[in-house]
Amino acid sequence: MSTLATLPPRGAAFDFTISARKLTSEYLQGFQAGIAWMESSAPIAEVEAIADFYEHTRAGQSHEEATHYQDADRFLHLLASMHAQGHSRRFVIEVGSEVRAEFIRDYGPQFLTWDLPGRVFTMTALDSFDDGLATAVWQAIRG
Amino acid sequence: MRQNSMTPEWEIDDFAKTWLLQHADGFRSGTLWLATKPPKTEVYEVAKIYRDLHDGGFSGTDSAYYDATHVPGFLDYLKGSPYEREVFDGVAEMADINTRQGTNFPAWPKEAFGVGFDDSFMLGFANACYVAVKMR
Repeated sequence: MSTLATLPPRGAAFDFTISARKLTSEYLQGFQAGIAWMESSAPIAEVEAIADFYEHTRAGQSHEEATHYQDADRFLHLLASMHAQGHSRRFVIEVGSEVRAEFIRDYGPQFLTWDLPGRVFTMTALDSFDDGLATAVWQAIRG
Repeated sequence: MRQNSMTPEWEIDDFAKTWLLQHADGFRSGTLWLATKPPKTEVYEVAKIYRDLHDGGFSGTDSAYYDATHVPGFLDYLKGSPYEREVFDGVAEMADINTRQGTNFPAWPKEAFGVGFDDSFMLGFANACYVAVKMR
């Protein structure tokens, strides 16, 4: 990952690679999906929870690179809106106990006590769509 | 909190909506600029604007001033648009401010331009650079 602290040599052109184009495009899609969601009478509790997600995962925060398992039943409106907007592929609902079982199998018994809700979906700031969505919501809340 | 039919609804006001749409416009414009193969150094410098001001900066209502000689292509790209930056003499300007206020702030760059915390389009533009640099 590049950092802003290290400047590249002078003269070189910025190569806006296909992957970077895809990521910026996804970010903008997320940003716009966030605006559309907020325009659709989203519940305040959900909006605030997404803004909190941004606060905890923005650059430099301790959870920046973590995947967050969200309680699907707390975000019914968001999930409905994202599905209606054609982003269902990004918001897949999984069974919490099955996710926990996979973690125990793959990473060990320390996940036995992991308290996951019954139905979950993931969000992560490393996903540019999620990042764009959360940024739009945070900006709107910030006013 | 469980939601139900009594859950209060978020009402996005016109100000916030305008802000977000301008940010998105700026972001789109930023990606178009990135596609012109600008100098890497300029992209990094513009990305810093987002880093500095995305949360309003130190005070929450900061303006930041940058060296125009570091981003000539960026400033050219904005020329003629409503978002064109005015380049001014940052040394003379700060000397004037210090004289009037009795302060001793360090000078801005000789050829300076400013961006404010409320300049949503420009923050969106810089955000595109930030995302492109951070995630590629």
